[in-house]
Amino acid sequence: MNLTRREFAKANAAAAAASAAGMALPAAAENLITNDDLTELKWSKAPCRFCGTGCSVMVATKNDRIVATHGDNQAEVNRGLNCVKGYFLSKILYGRDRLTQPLLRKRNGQYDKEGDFEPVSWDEALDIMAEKFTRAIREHGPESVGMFGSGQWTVWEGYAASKLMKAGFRSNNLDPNARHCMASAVGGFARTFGMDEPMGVYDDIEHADAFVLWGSNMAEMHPILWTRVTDRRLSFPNTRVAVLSTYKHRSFDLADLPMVMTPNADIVILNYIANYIIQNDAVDRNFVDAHTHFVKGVEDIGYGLRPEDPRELAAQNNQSPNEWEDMSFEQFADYVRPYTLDRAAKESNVPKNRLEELARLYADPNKRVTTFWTMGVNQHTRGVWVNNLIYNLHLLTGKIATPGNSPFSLTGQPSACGTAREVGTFSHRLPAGLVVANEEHRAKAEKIWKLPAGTIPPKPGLHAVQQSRALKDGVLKVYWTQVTNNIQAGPNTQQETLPGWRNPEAFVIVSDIYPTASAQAADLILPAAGWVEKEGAYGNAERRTQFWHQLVNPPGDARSDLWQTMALAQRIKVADVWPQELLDQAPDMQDKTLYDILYRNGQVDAYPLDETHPDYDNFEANEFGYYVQKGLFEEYRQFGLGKGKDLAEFDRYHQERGLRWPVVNGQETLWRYREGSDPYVEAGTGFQFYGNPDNRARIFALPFEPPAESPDEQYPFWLSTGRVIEHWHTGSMTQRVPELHKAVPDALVYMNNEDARDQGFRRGSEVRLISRRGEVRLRVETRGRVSMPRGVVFVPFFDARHLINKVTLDATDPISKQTDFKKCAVRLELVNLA
Amino acid sequence: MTEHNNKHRHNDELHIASLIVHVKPEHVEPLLESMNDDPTLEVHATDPAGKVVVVCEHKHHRAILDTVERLEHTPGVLGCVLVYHEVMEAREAGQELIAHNTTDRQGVTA
Repeated sequence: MNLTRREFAKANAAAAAASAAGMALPAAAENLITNDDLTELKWSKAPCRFCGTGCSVMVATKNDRIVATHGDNQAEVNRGLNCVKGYFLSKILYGRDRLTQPLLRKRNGQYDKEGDFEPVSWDEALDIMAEKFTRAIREHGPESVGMFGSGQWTVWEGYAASKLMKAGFRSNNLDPNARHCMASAVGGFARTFGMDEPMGVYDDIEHADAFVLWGSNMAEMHPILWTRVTDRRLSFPNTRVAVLSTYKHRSFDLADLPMVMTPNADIVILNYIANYIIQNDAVDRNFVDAHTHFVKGVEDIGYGLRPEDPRELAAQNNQSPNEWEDMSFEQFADYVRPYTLDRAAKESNVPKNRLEELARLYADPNKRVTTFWTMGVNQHTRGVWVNNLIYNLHLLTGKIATPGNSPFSLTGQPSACGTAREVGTFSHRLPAGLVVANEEHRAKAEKIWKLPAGTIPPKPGLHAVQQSRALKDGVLKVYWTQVTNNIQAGPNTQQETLPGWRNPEAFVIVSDIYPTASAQAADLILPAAGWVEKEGAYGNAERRTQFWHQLVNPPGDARSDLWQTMALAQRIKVADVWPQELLDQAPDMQDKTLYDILYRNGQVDAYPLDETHPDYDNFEANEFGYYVQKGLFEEYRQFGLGKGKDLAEFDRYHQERGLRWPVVNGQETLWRYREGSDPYVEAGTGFQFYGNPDNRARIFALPFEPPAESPDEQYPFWLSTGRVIEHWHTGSMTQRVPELHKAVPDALVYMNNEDARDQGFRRGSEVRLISRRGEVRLRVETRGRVSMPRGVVFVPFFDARHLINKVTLDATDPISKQTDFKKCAVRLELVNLA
Repeated sequence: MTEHNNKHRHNDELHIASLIVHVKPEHVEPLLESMNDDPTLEVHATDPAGKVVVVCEHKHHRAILDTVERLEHTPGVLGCVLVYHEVMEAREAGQELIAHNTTDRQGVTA
């Protein structure tokens, strides 16, 4: 058969799509097979760089460059599909302003905070970093240095950074940007189940009779999972889809039960549904009696603002928000009884019949219900509570850990679970769910790391929002961020983040692949290698760990974050940053570097170069002389073995399209906590929520409490921020792709048409959006991808020219320390009618 | 800031992409009709339950995104996902290839 290159590509494209859709093509096309020799393309697997879904893509390279991608049809997650973001993966690395060498602010040849960026060598960059870190620790102690990492870090990048910060520098001031997106989900899991991450898997989608989207726009943010939901809904017409949000978005297109609620009314609705389940005898008493217990959480917990804020002074329990006491089922029933249908409808503005229908979905014993949520729940001053209250509904009805019955917390970043949560790069955490405040946990980490007792400090470090405040207050002196863009993504930029970074006392280092807003606010910029320019591992939202090989080389002098972290450690002597009493315990470490004791410890360097794959480059392995990634992973793996967090051996992951932990006896686990599915559940028990000592999940009684700021006469609108599909998070990658950028050219404020008319605006008018903290200029949009109810405006946060976080409030959930980006009060003023 | 040399230029590129369009069953026929008039689109397979496989060929990336956006806003369309994307130099597009049946190494089956 003779084919042109164009015809061949088209036939492959059609066949890949038909296969992914489960459809047949004419026989000739089906017989086509991609042939590396023929097409000169080398195809390899890699998980997508973008969201937390964890799709696998096939990546073709030619002449050290990515030239084609397609959805991986061997991947269970996406089954050959790819979304818009994944589609442009091949261009993400090739923006014209890619950083290729270190840049340091200088004046007259010397580092100067007020100087301009000048190219410097890696030696000069690392030398000044080593000097700054060492001096800060000597003069101000380990708490004067900090690091802000990412749910986009590979597993070993996060792990290596955690070792450097918590053991090398002995500072717990390490936090990931996942604090802004997943911390409330983590808090919810910890309180209800005593153990992080979902019990269910994406396979639940094909078993569910009803889906409830609770503050999530899956159609735009998790398009591949949404495709699976859509398939289920179309193939099984009795399936029901309920969508609840504070404004109407694209997921409403598929909704059988659409609901737009007043911001912050979710707690009232959730307690109403629990009340409905109880009043209508829909409680699964066998399940509840055997596998749950009821607790009442403390109330009036504040808003995570600065301690002198009047809202904190007025709060009763803001110092101890994460406590609870036992209660009985009857007491719980009494507690939720005031949350009536009338009250829920009045406070949420959702019609009664829809709320009742939603309650019936959960209450009906014959309906398998999967609940999905993301930022609408997590970025919430009561985000942990809302997570707890969603679990309440699934626990009261026993609809959990069985196929199709799944309270499922989605994630926004590709390794929010794998790196931020499992490696434990939070300021209070250590790997595999251990915490720094627990002496036994620290001892376990010190033993695995072969470091003297007392190396890891017990005091939790500064979390994300505190880091910004500590920079501003001059407490943090040296600050390093990797794969994140906090100047743009962090809250209250004008009053906290930017003044903190530009504080003359602070030295700020940003590692990134592009000159983001954060890079431009830094003092030293380090050019990073991205995605398949290095060997990597991510963990997705369903506990799936996925690996990839280095497929191309990074441009210029760009280097992976892993290399950067380890290269800095090579330049710092243990004796220069550790106190004498600790050194006395380990005299052999006296003359060593942090690199020697953290990475050349006989474990991380245990695997020789010849264990790397012969067909793929591995820059870090070649630089350091051993299979660094394998050594780090194998050491890290020790933390979770036998603890319900078992990972497979390193080499296995390069063969698989990922595996869901716990991986026991070579088998992955789909549904956790259920006998027969989870190897940790003992025979005869049915279910065991073994994260809690009594093997029971907690059902929480928690009240409605108002947000930190609500609209008033001066600031009459609610502001919510978020993403649109073509731009991922702060847009630092996707905005480099001109096609993506053009699709949503300018930051817009989406608002209700009648609100706009009342304010004297037209579609396209330029307005100032003003809060008590700052203002931005935006254009009014009254149509398009989202439809706003009266009184609520929405602004995407991707655009570096319109920093919406100058306006947002740095109120956090007091338990999770996660910022509420979904609720603050603003007013709008006309600049130009247009 | 430094410039990373971008070897590929838009004006000599050819982009081939495939899409799966999810559409409400009653809107399948009108969707197919609306695509008939567009020479950049080829329909390769149709499932009356609501799925259509489309291949498109464009000189610019931008046009692929426009296609997706346009299809997504067609009545009855619930979503449009991408599967395959390849960029080649336009002058290579007409080269003849001889196809053999071989098994690939990483499971890229067509």
